[in-house]
Amino acid sequence: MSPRDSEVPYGTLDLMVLRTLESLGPLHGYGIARRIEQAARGALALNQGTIYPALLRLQQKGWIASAWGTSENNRRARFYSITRSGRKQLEDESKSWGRSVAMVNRILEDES
Amino acid sequence: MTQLRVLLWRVLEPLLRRKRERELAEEIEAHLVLLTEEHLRRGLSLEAARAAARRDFGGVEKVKEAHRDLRGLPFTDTFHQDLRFAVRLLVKDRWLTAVAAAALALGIGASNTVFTFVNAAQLRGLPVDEPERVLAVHRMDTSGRPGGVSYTELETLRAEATTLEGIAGYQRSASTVTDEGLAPEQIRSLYVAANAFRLLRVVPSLGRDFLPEDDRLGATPVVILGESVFRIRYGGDRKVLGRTIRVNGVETNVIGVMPEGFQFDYFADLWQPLAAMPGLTTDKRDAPQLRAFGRLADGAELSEARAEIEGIDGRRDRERPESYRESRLTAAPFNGTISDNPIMPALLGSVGFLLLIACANVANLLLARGTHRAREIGIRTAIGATRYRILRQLVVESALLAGLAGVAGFGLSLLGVRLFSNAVADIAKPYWIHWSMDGRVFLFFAAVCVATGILFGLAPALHLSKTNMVSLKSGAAIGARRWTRGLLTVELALTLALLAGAGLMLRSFLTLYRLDDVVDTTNMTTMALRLPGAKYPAPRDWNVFFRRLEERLAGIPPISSATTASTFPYAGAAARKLVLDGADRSPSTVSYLTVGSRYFDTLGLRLVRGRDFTDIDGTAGQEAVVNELLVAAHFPTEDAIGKRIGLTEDTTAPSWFTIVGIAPDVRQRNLAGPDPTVYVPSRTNPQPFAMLLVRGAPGTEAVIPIVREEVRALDPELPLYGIMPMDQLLSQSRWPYRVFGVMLAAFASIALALSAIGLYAVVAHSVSQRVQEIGVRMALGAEARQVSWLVTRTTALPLFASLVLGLAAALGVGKLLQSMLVQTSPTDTTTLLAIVVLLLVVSSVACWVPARRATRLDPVAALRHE
Repeated sequence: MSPRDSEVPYGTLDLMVLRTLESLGPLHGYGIARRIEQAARGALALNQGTIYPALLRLQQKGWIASAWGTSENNRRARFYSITRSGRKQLEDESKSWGRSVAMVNRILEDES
Repeated sequence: MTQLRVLLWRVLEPLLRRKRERELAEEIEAHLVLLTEEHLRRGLSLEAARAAARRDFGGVEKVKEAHRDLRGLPFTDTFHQDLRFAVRLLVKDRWLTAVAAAALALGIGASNTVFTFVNAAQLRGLPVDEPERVLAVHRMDTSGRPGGVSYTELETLRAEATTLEGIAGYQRSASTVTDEGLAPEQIRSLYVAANAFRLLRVVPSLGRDFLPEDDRLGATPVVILGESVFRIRYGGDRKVLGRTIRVNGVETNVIGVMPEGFQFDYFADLWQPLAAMPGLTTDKRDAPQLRAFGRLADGAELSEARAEIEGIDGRRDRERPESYRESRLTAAPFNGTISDNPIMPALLGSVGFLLLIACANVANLLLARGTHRAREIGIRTAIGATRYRILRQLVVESALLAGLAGVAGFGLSLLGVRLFSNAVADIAKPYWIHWSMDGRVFLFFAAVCVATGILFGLAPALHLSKTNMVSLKSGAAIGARRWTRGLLTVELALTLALLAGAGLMLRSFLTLYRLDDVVDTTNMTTMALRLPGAKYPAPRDWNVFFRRLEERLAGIPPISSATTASTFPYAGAAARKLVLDGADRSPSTVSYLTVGSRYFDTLGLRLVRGRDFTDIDGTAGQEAVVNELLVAAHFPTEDAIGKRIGLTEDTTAPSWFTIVGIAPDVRQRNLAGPDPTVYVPSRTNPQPFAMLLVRGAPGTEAVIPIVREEVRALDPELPLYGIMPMDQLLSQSRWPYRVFGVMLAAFASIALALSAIGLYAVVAHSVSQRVQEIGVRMALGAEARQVSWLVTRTTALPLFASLVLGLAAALGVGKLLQSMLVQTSPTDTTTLLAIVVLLLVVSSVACWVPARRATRLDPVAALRHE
C-alpha cells in the first residue's frame, strides 16, 4: 500500500527506520518494527507489514543495505544496516525535520 | 544518482522477480513467526497467537502488492500477469469471446476493406513524385461540372502564371498503328505537350523524352510507346527505337519507350506531341477541348495558383462571348478530379457506423458479463487492488479481444478486397488505381483496432472498476442498465441509418433497371472504328465510308440490323448548349448524338411521336429527333414537332434544326438518369469516328468475323476495336449501383444482425438476472404477457428513441447520397417506412425469443434458482 494509507505521517517512517538502524545496528524487519512501536509508546498504530515497502524504498535509494543472517530463534532472516549515505541522509533529514517542527510550533503558538 | 539506482533496481525486476518474490515471502514468514512467538510468550494459545500476529502485521497480500509496485517498472511488472489472466478469461467464456470477436471482426474487416478502396481511388493518386503538387486545370461551369480548356488559354497561362512550374495540355485519343508484317491495331493514345513527362518527373526507360521542337507544327512526327506496346507488339526489340511506324496513316519516328506501368493519364499506351493533333494549332485554337495539368512551382501553394489562374482568366473575359463568362478557369488537385464521388464518403460513413454498432454490441455483452464479474472485482478491490489496477486489467482484456478481432478482421478485409476487385474487374478506371493495401492502409487498420478496443472497452471498464463490496451488495445493476440502454439506442439508430442508405441505393438500382428497359439489348454488339486523317481527310470521305459500311452490313443473314452512331445508350454523349427561337432564357445543356439512319430501329426504340430519319435527311435540310425530357422541359404546352432548335458549342454560332420526331428517354451522359437529348443524322455533322451497333444471332462470336470481313473489304488497314456485347456494357454502366448497393446492403444486414443479437442478449440477460423474481410473480399468478413485458420493457425506450434518432440520421444519409439517387427522393417515404417496419419486426423477434423462455419457466424451479 502507498505510504499515505499508513497512519504514519508521510516520510517519517523512513526517518524512523534510519534512526533505529543508526542507533541499534543491523536489525531484521521485525526488530525494526518492534523498536519503532516501543519508541512511540503506543502512540502509533503501525501495521508492521508496512515496514517492508519502506525498507525496499530505502534500499533502492542506497541508504540502507541488507544481508541474510540468523535471527535469535535460529531462523534465516534478512538484516538491514544503515549505509554511509544513509547516515548523511539521516543527518540532513533530522535537521530539516527539526526546523519544520520548530517552525510549525512557532506558528501554532503565535496563532493561539 | 539516487534516481539512477532506483531505475536500475526496477529495470532488473523481470530478471530477479522470482528471487525477490521468494525472499520477500521468506522474510514475511520469519516476521510472522517472531510475532507469533512473542504472543505465545504473553500466554496466548497457538491459534490465538497466530491470529494476533496476522493482525499486528496487517494484510500480507497488501504488503506484497505494495512491495511489487515499488520493485518493478510501473506498467510492465504486472502486465504479463494481467495478460495471462485475460487469456484465461477469454478462453473460459469462449462463446462470449467468439460472438464479440466475430462482431468486431466484421466491423474492422468492413472498415479496412472500404479504406483500401478509398486509399486506392482517392488518396494514393498518381504514382509520380509529389503527386499532391500536380494540379488539374479546367474550366468549371456554373453547375460545377469541369470542362476543357483551349490551346490559346494554355499558351496564356504558360506565359503568365508564375505559381506553376509548367503547364501541359493533353487530349485522349485512339491511334491506329500499322506497319509491315503486323496486323493493324487500335491503341489508346494521348496527344500531350512536350513538357508533360518532365512535369510528372517520369523519364522514358528507353530512348528520349519529347523535346520542345517535336511539339511544333511541321516537325518530324515522333511517338513514344508504352511498355506494353513495346513488349507485346514489338516483342521488346530495342531496334524499334528510331524505326518508322505508321500512326493514323502517318510515317512516324519511334523515339522512346515509357517505363512499365506508366499509362498517363488514364490508360494510354502511346504518346504523340500535342502539335500532331489535327487542326489544334490552327482552326481549333480556341475550342475548349483540351485537358491540362500543371505542377506547382517551388514554394507556391494550391490556393495561390488557383487565385492566379482565376485572375488571368478574368482579365480575358472581355474578349470572349457572353456564354463563356459564366464559367471559370480554375485548378484542383489532380488526384481529386478522377474519383470525386459521393459514394466514397457514404461508404466510409457506413462502415464507421457498422464499427460503432459492433462496439456498442460488444460493450453491452461485456456489461452483461460484468454483472457476473462484479463479485470477482469486489474481492480484488477488498484485498487491495486500486481502481487503476482494475481498470488496467479490464483494458488489457479489451485490448486482447480487439487484437483477436483485428486478426480475424484483417483476414475478412483481404477477402472483401478480393471480392470487390472481382466485382469491378471490368470497369474503366485510371491505370494507377489498383485495389491493394499499403502502409497507409496498415496504419489505418492499426488505428481502427486501437480505437475499437477503447470504444467497446471503456463503458464496461469505467462502470465495473467502480465496483466495491458495498455497491456489490446494493445492486450496482442500475448503472449498468443505464449504459445498456444508451448503447442499445445508439446501435439501433445507426442500424436504421444504414438500412436507409442501403434501401435508397436499392430503390435507385431498381429504378435504373426500369429506365434502361426501353432499349432492347439482346444479341446487340458494339464496336468502334476510327478513320485515319491521312487517308480520309474530308468529312465527305467519312460519310461515304460509314454509309457504305451500313449498307454492306444490312443485308447479311445473322445480322438483323446495324447502324453507326457517335455514341450509344449509356456510353456518354457530347454536350451542346440548346438555344430556342426567340427565347431569352439562358441556354441549357443537352446531350448530342449523331446517328445513322437505322439507329432507333436497331436499338428497338419506338418513337413516341413524329417520324424516324430517312435516308435523305441531313443531305438538304437539318432534321432532329429529340427525347421526351427535352420536350417536357422546353415545349410543355405546345406540339414540339416542326419547332426549331439551335445547338452551339459555346463559342460557335448555333446551327439550327427542325424537330421531326420525339424519342423515348435513354440514359447517355448522366449515370443517374436520362438528360434532354438531341439526335441528328450523321450526315449533318460527319465525324471520322463512329460506334457500330450490330444486332444479330445469339452470341457476339457469330457477328464479329462478318463485320470484320466487311470492314476489311472496305479498307484492310482499319482495325475494329472496343468490341463488347451491349448487355455487358449496360451492366458496366450500372456497376456503381450494383457494387455499392450490394456493399451497403451487406453492411446494413450485418448491422441488423448485430442489433438483433444485441437486443437478444439484453433481454436474455434480463431474464437470467430475474429468474427468482419471475418465479415469485408466476407463483403469485402473473400471466405470461406480464412476464414477457417485465423482461422486454428495458428495450422499449431504446427502441423508441432509436427510431427518432435513426430517422434523423437517415435523412442525413439520404442527403449525402442524393447525387447518386435515381429518381428517388432522399426522404422517400416508401423506403423509410419499409425499413422502419423491418427494424421493428426484427427487433420484436429478437426480444420475443428470450421473453418466451421466461414465460415457460417452471415457477417451482425458478424459486429455488440461485
